[in-house]
Amino acid sequence: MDISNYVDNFYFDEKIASAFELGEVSTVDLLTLDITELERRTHCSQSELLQLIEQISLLLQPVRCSASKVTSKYLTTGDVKLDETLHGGIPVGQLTEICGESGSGKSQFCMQLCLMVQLPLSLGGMNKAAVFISTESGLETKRLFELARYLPERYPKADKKDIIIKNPGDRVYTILCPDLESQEHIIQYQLPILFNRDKIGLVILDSVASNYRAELRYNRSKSHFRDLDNIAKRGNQLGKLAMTLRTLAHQHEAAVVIANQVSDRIPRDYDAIGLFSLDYQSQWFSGWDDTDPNPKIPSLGLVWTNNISTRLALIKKTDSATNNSGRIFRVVYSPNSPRLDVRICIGSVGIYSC
Amino acid sequence: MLSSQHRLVTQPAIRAYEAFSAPGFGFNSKLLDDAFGGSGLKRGYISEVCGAPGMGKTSLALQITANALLSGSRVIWVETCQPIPMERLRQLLDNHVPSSQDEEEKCDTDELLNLLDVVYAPNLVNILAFLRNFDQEKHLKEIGLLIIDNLSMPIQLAYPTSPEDYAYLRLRRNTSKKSSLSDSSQKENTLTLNKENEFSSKDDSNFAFHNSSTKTTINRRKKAIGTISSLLSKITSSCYVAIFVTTQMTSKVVSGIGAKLIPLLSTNWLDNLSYRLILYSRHSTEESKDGQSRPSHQLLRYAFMAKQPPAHSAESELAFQLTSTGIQDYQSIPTNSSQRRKRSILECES
Repeated sequence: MDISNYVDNFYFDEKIASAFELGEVSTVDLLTLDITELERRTHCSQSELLQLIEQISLLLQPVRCSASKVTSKYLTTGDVKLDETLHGGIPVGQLTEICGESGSGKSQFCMQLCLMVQLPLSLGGMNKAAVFISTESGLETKRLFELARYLPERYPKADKKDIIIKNPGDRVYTILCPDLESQEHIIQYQLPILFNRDKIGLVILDSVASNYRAELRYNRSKSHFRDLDNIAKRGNQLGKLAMTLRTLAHQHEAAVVIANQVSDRIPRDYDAIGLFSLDYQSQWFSGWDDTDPNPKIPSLGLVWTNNISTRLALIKKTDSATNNSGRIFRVVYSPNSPRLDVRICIGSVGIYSC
Repeated sequence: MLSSQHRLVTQPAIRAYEAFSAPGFGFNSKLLDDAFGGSGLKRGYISEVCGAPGMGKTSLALQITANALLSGSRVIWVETCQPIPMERLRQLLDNHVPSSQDEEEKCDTDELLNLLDVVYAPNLVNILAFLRNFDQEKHLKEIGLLIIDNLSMPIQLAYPTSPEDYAYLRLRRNTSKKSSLSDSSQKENTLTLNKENEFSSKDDSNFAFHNSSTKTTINRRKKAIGTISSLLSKITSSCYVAIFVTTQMTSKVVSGIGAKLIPLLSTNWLDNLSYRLILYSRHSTEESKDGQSRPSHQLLRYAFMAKQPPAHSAESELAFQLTSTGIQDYQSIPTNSSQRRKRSILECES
C-alpha cells in the first residue's frame, strides 16, 4: 500500500500488507470504500479493518493551527514599488511564475532574487541561500557578481556590512539539467537533500518549459489521439513537479520562482468560439490580452496555470508614436493583490521601477 | 469498536430550525447574496465556486470567511495547494471592525482570528481523514463555515488523467454514437464518424487489453469523489455547517471550436451539491454613454449559477468587482446573449 508516501515509519503488519497489495487497495481506497467491499478485496476481518482505518485516519489528520498565529512571509524584490504592488514581495511557501519573451528580463529578475534572499531580514531578505536550477545555459555568474557589486546603489542608506556580499556565488547553488529525465530526478530527489543540508530560502527554475517543449511536442492544429496522450502525460508530470516544489516551499518556508517562456497569441473570432472558450478566457490569466501589442501566451497550458499561485509577466511595449520602448512588470493574478502594471527599467543595478 | 461512520448522529430539531433561520454569511454583494437565497451562504448547504485562475475564487472565500468571523461563528479553512492569504483577511476584518479607538481595533481583529482554524491538507488522504473525523471537532457547535480552498487539485493529483482514460472514453463514446446513428437524418455525420472509427480501432485493439484496469481508474476517482461528497453532505446535515468549496477548471476539446473551459469535477460530485457558481470574465458589451468612469474589465468578474435548489432562480449573469478592499457590487446585465451563452455552457458540461 502507498501509506509510506504519507506517513513515515508506519508499522504495517506483513500479513495485512500483502493482503492489501493483492487486493490493490490504496490508502484512498481504505478511506473511501465500503467495509464490505474492503473485506471482499483483502480477506481481512472487519474488526481488523476498522481498527486500521481508525489508526490511519488519526495518523493522516492534517496539520492545523489557529489563524491568529499564521503570518504571511515575503521575499523582497529589491524595489519598494514592486514590493508594494505584490503586497510585500514574492510570497513564501507557494509557487510564483515569471513569464516573458526572451530578453524581457526574466533571468535578470531571477538572479536579482538570488541576491535578495541572502540579505538580512531587516532589508526584506531571508538571510538564506538560493538554488538556481537551469535548463538552458546555466547561471550567468558574471552578471550575478555585477548585480552584487551594485547592491550598495540599490540600498544607499543601508549599513555597508549588510549589503556587501563578497562572494555572491557562495550561497547560490547552481544545477544544470539539460533534459527532462535529469530535471525530474534533481527536483524529486536531490533538491530535498539540499534543503536538509543548508538553509534555502529560494528555488529558481529557469525555465520550466524548455525540456518539456523539446521532448513532448504536440501539434495544436491537428488534434491527434497521440497528441492528446502526450498532453495528458505532460499534464501529469507537471502536476507532480508542482506538487514536489509546493511541498518543499511549505515545509522549509522557501519562495519558489519559475521562469516560463511565451509564444505568440493569435487573436480569434470570439463570437464564433464562444464566451467559455479557453482562448477567450485565457486573456484574463495568461498575462496578455488582445489590446496588448504583440500579445503572447505562456507555455504549458491550463494544467500548469492551475498549479501556480501567482503569475507575473514582463512585457515589452513599443509606443509607435514616440518610438519609445518601455517595459512593464505585470501582476497577472495573485492571491494577494489585484492585477496591476508597473513601469520598470533594467540597468546595471538590475530591475527597478521607474 | 464502532467507526464514526456507523455512529448514529442525532440533533435536536430546534438546532436545525435555528441554523436554517439564521442569516447566512454574506458576500458583500447583493447580487451574489440573492443568488444564494437572500442573505448569502446558508448553513446546511454545500456550495461550490468554480473558475479559472485569477477569477476570484479565493477572494469570494475570504469575503465570506471575514463575514462569518464578524458574525461570531467559528470557521475552518482547509488549504490544499496555496496558503490562506492572511494579510488580505486581516485587511477585510480591519475594514469592518467598528473603529472606536485605533489600539482596540487591532486587538479585535486578533480576537476574531482566534475563531479561525487553518488546516493544511495537501493530499486527498489528509482531506478524507479530516472529513471523516469532523464530528470529533472540539468546538463543533460553534462552527458555522467550512472552506476547502481548492478541492480539485488533490483529487487530480491522486487520480491523474491517464492516456488510457482517453482511449476508454473514446471507445465508450463511439459505441454510444453508433447505436444512435440508426436515425437516417444523421447521414451526414456517418461519413466522418466512420473515418474516426477506423482510426481509433487500431489503438483500440491493444487498448482492449487494458480495458478492465482503466475502467477501475476512472471508477476509483468517481468513488473517491462520491465519498467526499457524501462526507460533506453528512457534515452539513448533522452539524449545520455551511460548506464552501473552490474548484478549478479544465479544458475539453470541442470539434470546430477548440478548447472549452469546463469544471474539473462533474457527474456524481453534483449529487449533493446545492449551489454551483461558475466564474468568468468578459469584455463589457455596453459603451459608456454618460462618460461615467467604469471599472476596467480587468477587475470586473461575472458569475452564473450552474446549479441551485429548485425553488431558487438567480439572475442569469451576476457581476461583481474585485477590489483591494474585497468584493463589491456591480450592476447586473441580463442580456439575451448572456442567456444564450449560459445555455451553451450547460450543454457543454453534460
